[in-house]
Amino acid sequence: MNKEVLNPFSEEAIEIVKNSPLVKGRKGLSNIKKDQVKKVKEWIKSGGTNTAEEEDILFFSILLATIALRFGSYSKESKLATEIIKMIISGRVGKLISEAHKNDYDENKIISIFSQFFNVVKSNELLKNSEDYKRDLERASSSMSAENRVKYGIQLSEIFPAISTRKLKLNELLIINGHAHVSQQNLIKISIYKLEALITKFLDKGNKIETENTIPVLKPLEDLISKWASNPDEYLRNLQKKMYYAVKSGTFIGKVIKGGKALNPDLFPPCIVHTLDGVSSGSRNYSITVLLTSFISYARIAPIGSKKNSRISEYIDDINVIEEILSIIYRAAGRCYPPLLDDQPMEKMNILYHLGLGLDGDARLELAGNSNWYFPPNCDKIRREAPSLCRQDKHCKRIKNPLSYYSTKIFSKKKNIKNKKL
Amino acid sequence: MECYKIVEFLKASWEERKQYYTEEWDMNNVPNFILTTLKDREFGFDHNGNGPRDRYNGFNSPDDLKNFLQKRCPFATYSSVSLYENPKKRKNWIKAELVFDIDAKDLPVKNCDCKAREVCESCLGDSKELLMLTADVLKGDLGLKKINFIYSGRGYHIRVLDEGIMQENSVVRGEILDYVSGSVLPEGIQWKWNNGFPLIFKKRAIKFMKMLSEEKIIEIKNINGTKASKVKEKMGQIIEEFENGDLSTLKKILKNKGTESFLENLRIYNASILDGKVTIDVKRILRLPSSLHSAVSMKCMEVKKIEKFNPLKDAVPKFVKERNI
Repeated sequence: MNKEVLNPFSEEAIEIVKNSPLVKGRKGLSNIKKDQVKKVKEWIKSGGTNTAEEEDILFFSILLATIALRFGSYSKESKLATEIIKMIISGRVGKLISEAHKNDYDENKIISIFSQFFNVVKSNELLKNSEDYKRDLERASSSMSAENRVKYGIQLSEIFPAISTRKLKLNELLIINGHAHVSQQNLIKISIYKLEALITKFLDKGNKIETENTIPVLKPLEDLISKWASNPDEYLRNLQKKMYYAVKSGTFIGKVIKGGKALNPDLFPPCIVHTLDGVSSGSRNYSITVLLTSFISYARIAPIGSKKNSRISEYIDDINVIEEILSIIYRAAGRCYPPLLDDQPMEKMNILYHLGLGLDGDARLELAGNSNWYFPPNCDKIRREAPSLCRQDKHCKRIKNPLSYYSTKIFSKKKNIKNKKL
Repeated sequence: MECYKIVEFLKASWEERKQYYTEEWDMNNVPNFILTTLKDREFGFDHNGNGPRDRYNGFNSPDDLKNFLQKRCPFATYSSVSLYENPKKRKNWIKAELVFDIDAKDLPVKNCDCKAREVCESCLGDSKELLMLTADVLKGDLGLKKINFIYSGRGYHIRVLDEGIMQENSVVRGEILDYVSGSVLPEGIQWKWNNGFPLIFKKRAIKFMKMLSEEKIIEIKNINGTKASKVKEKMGQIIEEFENGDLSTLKKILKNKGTESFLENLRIYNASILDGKVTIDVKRILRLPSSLHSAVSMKCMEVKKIEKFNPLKDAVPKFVKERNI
């Protein structure tokens, strides 16, 4: 019987990838090359994989490795792929759970579903010896629907990825002896965020690899993707279509004519790196709304040769780019302490205003020009407004604006590559 | 109450610092968890009392550290809670201890006549009590095992070295901080739980309720003099009910609005027990245990037996004892 793949990073899954021609004899997935992808495709066609499960795991691996190499972890491509994988896996988890519910509700079935992610134990077994704790368990579950009853214990560290997203609060859970006791509903949440964290970790690692000459092509993947699109689940099909067309039209490979330039976070100046990590109260508003918003938008859309008083819409015609920019800003805002948008939701509108989209509170390209598209402030201004952000490195001494730090670095990198070729 | 204030201690002079580092300082007093990772940590120094301006230092061996300390006799010595592949550049962060900082001078409610930023035996005692409450949660709830106590010279540090927690980012550390200090109000049915987060909130809040004076209660929004004195008078009963998640007497006196403000104040007291900046900073430097806190002439030291520890006896350097003769 084939097992449904829920966690393409589980130990079993990693073993399967290791034994495929994809990485055989190589250090790891991050060294994947163009011909390798072709080989795997042929291998799959020739029936090299024994099971659909293996094929499935390899698909995830090729997709993620390709994206990591070609686009890096901050790109819209990686965001889209992460979202799609999350949706696919949540769909599978949901399906398995409803199957488990068909007959008598069996906690063991639920536990085995999540075993691809982590070790789950029945709360009652963990708390065997304490009636006092069990009473709390009952209180935490009273007047709850079945899926919200607190029944399952998992190691505390397993919930940290979910805690990291602030979608789950430690203080709302029953935590005893290094275990969090949660409901079936929360198990789904926790496993999907763990999956997301694993994907991000993978993409981040890939990002550090030199990509020159190892850029694989997504083309061979099209077949696999379209094969997937025949999945009977309607809402999954829609998502896969989205990805399929993205690949077809080229937007997925970043070849849009007016799409700006993919970000290269390795070349960001120290102040931006610091802001992306989140800042603490006091300089949150300035760092996120003014500095990060202006820097990320110019760096993504027009890092070199932008005119004063221009509109975003003069440089791009793809709203996805704005969404990508916003997601980076919102993520950094979420990493602030306290999270900026939690206590100051108004800042969302302010961020759009600084992008030149006026005060409508909507991210639509037609709105460009309703306010000024703010240019990143100069270094001396940043030092005055948020002294803690400025931690100069060697390159900083040669520039006066964080954007020129980025653009000169892009320029010198290009030059280096050219020189090497000569 | 007798109030023996630490601020009455004098700053340590250069000669006293020299005496401390050559005669009293001992490598064996540097905690093992630091010695074994010495070369992975960043060191910071304050040479003249203006703050740790001299950073990005590293030592390859305990002897290097010893030579430096005995030669320079720094006003204050710090080492990072984080480990790096390249500590002298603070590059390639590997992991960091989970740390909590209780500063006796910043306690939100005080039992003594210390003003803000002053410290006496009573404040230090309260800090120790809150320290042990915090450690109980780390052990009991979170299941952490490698918990170390440090007397910082004017308060306490808790340094946790469990492998599973050292990789975590600031967000997770912030959430743990909220949890262990009880900085969030329990919600609805949670008030009826006997364990877990609500218990943490209640334990700390009750400690502060016992310490609250009538004047302090009047300061709370939506509470006037008459109500304040009634609350103070019935505090015993209020606390007893509070333990069981029952707020009826409190609500009877203060009505809904006053109760809300009262609880919010308790929440804020809880949130001010620990210095959050220290916990969420994964690159923080903290006073090196074994070093001298020169501003108050006290030792910063690892505390093995926290129950028996008395800073005013155990953390006083020789030269201070000699001063008093």
